[in-house]
Amino acid sequence: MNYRTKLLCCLLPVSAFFCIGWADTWDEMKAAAGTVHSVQAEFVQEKHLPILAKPLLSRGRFYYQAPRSLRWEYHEPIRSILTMHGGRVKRYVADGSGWVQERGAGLEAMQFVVQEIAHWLSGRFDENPSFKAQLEPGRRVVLTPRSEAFSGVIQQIVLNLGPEPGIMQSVVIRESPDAFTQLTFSHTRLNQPIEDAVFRNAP
Amino acid sequence: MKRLCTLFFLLSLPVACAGLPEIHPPADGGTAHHEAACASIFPQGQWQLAHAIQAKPPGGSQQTMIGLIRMSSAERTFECAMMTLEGVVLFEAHYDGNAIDIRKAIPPMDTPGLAEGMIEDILLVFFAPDPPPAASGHLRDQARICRYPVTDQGTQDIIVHPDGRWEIRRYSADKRLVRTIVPDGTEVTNAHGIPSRVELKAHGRAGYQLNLSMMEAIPMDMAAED
Repeated sequence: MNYRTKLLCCLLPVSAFFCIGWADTWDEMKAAAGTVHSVQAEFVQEKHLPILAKPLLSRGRFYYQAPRSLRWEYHEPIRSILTMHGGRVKRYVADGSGWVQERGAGLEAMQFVVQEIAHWLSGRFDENPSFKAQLEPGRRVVLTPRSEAFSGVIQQIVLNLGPEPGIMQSVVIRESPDAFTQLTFSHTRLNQPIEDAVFRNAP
Repeated sequence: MKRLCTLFFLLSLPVACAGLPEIHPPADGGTAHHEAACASIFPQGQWQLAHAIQAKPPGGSQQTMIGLIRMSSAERTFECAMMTLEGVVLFEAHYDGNAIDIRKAIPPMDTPGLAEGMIEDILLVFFAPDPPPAASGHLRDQARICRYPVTDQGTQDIIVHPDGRWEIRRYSADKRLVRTIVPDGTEVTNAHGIPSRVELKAHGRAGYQLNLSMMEAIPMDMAAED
């Protein structure tokens, strides 16, 4: 065995580890996502509505720490932070006087959304009983509401997964045929240490 | 104690029943300039506007949402939507100049009367009153004023100060001040003459405050672009 062959033999298992995909069944996906302890990524959010001539753009960054800590942060056009830590969801919004913690309107709706995002990042796509989950070719997960009441709010969620567990390329949340939110992710970093304070002591 | 209550009641009267300010007719008798100045504070043409809306309800904590409106000043019609900062649409409606068509209203934006109140506030902030002013002139401090009759036997005053600052005051039929709207902050208008920041105060026991900060103003027709 020459030097090159020996090197190839050593590198193959390593490269195989890095090439582990999201896998093909729910159980395999959950198992694969078990290797993900944290995720950080930047995102661009496009809000499409019939009354908008062009989509409303927002940009930000999110941090996820297994099993259930999430920080969803918008940098523009309005600086705001949504955190979930220890089962509690909090929202902070920056105004002229600094950061203000807000309660009430809309936070209940967001509780559901952040919990779902944490589920997706941990590979638990099929755990919400409100949705029927379908795994499609091309690493595409389609979630459709089981109840008609729910479909009045969200008609469909499509997750386009990246090549590795923990990586999502984009999410499309469709409220009606011409009203949807598209999130596109970039600069994803996996398994980098994130301090607890990022979730606990926002901002 | 009874005397104290009476005193408090009497002291509070000037605020609650301050009434309408006296209008002095222009020296030259012409009111066209005044009426043009009053109408100029509203967006003209068709616009798509996006605002961050900071709401301070009575006794509640501050909440920020995104308000979207697509409006036509000529037709006095608009479509509007309210959503969370994360883009979850909680309310969507269309106003055709007469009636409201609510297309979506999910908690907490499904409470009775909320849609009607929201439509009234949108009309007050973004649309010049429909009828011509019943009176116009100036106030004692030389600010221009136009007084419009409104549907519920109430009155709407638009006051434009010599330095360009303006104010909208809405009075009920019994002349109680129910709403005031002023541009908020040092930057009074954007490039199109639309205020970048506006503060709306609803007075009374269930009073609230809305601070609107403009995120986007897109002209939708040539008239708005001119």
